[in-house]
Amino acid sequence: MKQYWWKALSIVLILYTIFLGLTTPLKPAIIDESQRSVRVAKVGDSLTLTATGYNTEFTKSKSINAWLTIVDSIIGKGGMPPVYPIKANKVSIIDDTHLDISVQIPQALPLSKNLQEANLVLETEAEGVLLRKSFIQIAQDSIHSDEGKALWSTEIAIEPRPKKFAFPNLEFTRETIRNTYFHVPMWFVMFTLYGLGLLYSIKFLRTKDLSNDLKAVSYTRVGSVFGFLGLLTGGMWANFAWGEPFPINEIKLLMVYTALAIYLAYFILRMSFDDFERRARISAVYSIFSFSSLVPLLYVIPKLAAVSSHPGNGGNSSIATQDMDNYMRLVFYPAIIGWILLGLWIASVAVRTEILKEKILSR
Amino acid sequence: MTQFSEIALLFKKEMMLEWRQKYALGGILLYVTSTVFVVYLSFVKVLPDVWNALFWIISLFASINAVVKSFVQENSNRQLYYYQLANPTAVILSKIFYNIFILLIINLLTFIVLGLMVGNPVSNTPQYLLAIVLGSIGFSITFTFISAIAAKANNAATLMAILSFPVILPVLITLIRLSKNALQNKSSHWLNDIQTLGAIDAILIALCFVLFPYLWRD
Repeated sequence: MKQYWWKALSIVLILYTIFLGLTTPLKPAIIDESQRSVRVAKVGDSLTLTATGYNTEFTKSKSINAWLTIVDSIIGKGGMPPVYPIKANKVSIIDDTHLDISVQIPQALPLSKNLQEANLVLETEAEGVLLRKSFIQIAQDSIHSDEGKALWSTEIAIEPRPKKFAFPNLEFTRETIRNTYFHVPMWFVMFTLYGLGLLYSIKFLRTKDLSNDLKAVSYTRVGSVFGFLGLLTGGMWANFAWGEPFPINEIKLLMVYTALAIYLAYFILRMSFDDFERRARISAVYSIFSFSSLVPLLYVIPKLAAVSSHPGNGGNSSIATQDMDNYMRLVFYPAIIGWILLGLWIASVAVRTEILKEKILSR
Repeated sequence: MTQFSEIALLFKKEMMLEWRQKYALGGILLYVTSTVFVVYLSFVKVLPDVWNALFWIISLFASINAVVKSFVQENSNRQLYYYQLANPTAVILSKIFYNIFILLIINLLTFIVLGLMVGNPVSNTPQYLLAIVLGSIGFSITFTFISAIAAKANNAATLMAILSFPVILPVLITLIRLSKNALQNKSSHWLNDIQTLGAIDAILIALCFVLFPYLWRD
């Protein structure tokens, strides 16, 4: 039993991933129910705004403080842009996810603009600080920025609170952020298995041992399955985050199609030989060729591209505090190891089947 | 005999073979002109983007047809004879150089004929010509290597198309972007694209160098 410890480990890690990845709540956030039609208010207005929370428990807090804040686009003292908040007069709690905020907007904006977006900042006892960017827009007819600076305050008193175990709650992903533990590891598994396929292809060319060829083709086959799973999980995610499952102008997706087509061609190439030795040799050469094109396809060209929706490509930052925090890493790294071990397990079964098939055929 | 003179001699041999049986090159030139004629007949006015797409489609298929015969043309006994005399790397390099030469002729001819018959919307001609030159090099390296693989299998022509289309796609995407820039005379990012093309070509030629010696042995 001792040599099977890694198989048990893969099961444990994947169960851990599924359990923690799917049951951990998202951080509370203020969401936009109106789907990005931002309300426009005039200076001097007295308004009542409704804020909708997600995973919030407003009724647990006795009192909630709210501010509208304007952030200057020019960087001021200390390398930070100046922030101008205005405190709400009254915050009434309707239920766990709804608040009514009454606020009096001053007579002038502190910036030299006719239209300015304002953020909403909430301080609650249960959740701590919640921020909603571009909550409303404030319009003014004439510019009086000095007057405005006197009307808006410059200080906002917020106390930091201890963090709860929760995943980032981003506008474009929401609950689908959990797909990180399934979509991303698929590519790691695919890469590992294709890499092993390459290794056994090289081994075959050096030793001319046909069992290496069988190993190479089995690893490549299982690797392709994981590649398609990555494509599938990516499609499900993109359907939510980008609005369509397989957008044509996404460079990384285009490169994945190409890479998978190159590897499908590998199997078609193998079908067109009668001679085993020749099939093994030519497909080993092609396998080395295709793996060498895999790295530039999936990791170099998308990084150089001008536009991409994937994080880490086309000028996007890769693992920023926004989309990956330490709570996520706690699940993400075990997930990668678990899926890779599962991939290796499936591939090892495929190798054994292939060798048995060959034995029966050659009897 | 040094590597260089081997390549030069083999290159000369390829030229002589082509010159003796002119039907191959002639057929491809006829293919290019007739395709352009069909385009001329079926379009009233061609938009620049469509023109670009048509150019690369014609160029891609003409290139595949020109290169596919590289290793099928001569029978295996004669090839064995060459491998005994020359280094395998010299054989593949001479074929690559020869194909670059042929593809340059074909693609420039396509460019000229398409420009004459359908109209030429290119505003930055040197940059477009640069795209053609880089494209010919990339096509030649990729297709020559793929044809060496496909020639060993049972149905070379079908396999050639299946194997080479996915491999050529990154080259083609970069080429289309580069040539689109030339059409609209935009200078943004074009150095970047040239770097990408150069890097892909370098990877491919390095792979040919390492892998071809394993391919020809039979």
